[in-house]
Amino acid sequence: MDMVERYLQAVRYWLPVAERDDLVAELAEDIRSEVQEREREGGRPLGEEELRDLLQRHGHPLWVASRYVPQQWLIGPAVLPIYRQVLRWSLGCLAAIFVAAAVFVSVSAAPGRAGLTSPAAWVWNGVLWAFAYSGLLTLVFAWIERRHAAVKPTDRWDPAQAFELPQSPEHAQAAEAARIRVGAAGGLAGGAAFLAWWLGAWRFEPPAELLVRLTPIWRTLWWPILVLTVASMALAAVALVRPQPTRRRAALAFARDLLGAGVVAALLGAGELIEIVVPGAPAERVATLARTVNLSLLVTVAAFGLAYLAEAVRDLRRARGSAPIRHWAVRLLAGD
Amino acid sequence: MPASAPMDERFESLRLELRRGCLTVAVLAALKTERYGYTLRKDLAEQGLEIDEGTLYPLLRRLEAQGLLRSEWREEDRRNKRFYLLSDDGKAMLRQLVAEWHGLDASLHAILKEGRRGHGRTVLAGG
Repeated sequence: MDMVERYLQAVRYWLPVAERDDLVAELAEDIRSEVQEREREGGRPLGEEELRDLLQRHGHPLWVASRYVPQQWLIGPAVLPIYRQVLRWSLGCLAAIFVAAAVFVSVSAAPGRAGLTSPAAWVWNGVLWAFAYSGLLTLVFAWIERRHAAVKPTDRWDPAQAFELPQSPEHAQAAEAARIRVGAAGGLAGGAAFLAWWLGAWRFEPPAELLVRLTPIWRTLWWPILVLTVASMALAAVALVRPQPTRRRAALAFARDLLGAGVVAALLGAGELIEIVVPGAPAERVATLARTVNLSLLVTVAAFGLAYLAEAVRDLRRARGSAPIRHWAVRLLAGD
Repeated sequence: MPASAPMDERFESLRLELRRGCLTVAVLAALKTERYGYTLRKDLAEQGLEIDEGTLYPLLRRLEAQGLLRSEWREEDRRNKRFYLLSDDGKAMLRQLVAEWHGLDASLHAILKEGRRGHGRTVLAGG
């Protein structure tokens, strides 16, 4: 019966501590009763093979013990969809922050102080962070699961208030028109403010003590940026009056998007967008400061570039009469 | 269980689902007379209701925790065995479950009968 004892010991290992002895005693009795009956029927003791078959039929110790464990999951079916959604979104945000940090540190690090600037180190650290974050989030949701099971929130919801009714097509159209008008008004106001600054920026002679100056690339791009701003304002003004999008307007917007992407490409290609002059300060420290500020500006400009590209995709499809892209990333970047 | 799973796997999954509730009623009904686990399992098998130990003992624990069964360890044939018996709450619960079972059985029969008649009409209409 050594085999039976070993089997029972294996089951015992996985059982809840408080009930181990009781459960194993009952299981042992069940197995012994079966062995005894089969031995009586056969008129001889069971052989090793027969005993092995009998125990195999009872099931793997882990499986047998698992049937006695009250909660079989860390995160149950009621909480799992929310967990998956939160994990997906937050991991996406974390990845974006991590990539931005990686670019920032890699470019702004002083020469000779590489630190974590090698791509492999960043990827490895990113994976570790993702694992740690996922583990923490899982623990939080496991706790929510336990709370959820205890309070049964499903008893406290009101079907009359739980969900919004789907909008009628007319209402949805009006809401969309209002959204476009608000966006257009904002774009118009922002464009006007930028235009006023842009038109005056190059006439303004900075005093000698001013620390920050625009690099020559901005002068080179003065006309394209002016055209881009005026075109955007014109499109916003039209959208303010007639918010319903048209294919012709989408085609014009597509041309504007391409111009915007071109301006961004030129700015990114220049590398330096501002110069910093601090009289009397150590040149190395000023250079580090300038590099950091330029990097921040380049990241911002790159974000504008991504937005222009997403808008270009959206406007091209509108101009061709194709169905709009529903992917969240495109919609987010294009500001829909 | 996805539609791509083999037919017998899908059948097994549904069969287990169908049996789950019936087993509870059967165990409660069988324990109107005191039994210990192994004899209960054997008696149910003899009645055509096979139930493995991995299902029976956790079920007995749950029913006891709900106050539907009483159990005690007692010596029989020089061995300690745990005997189970239906409690008063268990008897009341069994009556309700049996009534529910009869209701379900009647409904299912009616639906199956109706289904057969409906199927006949469909065939006639199609043919």
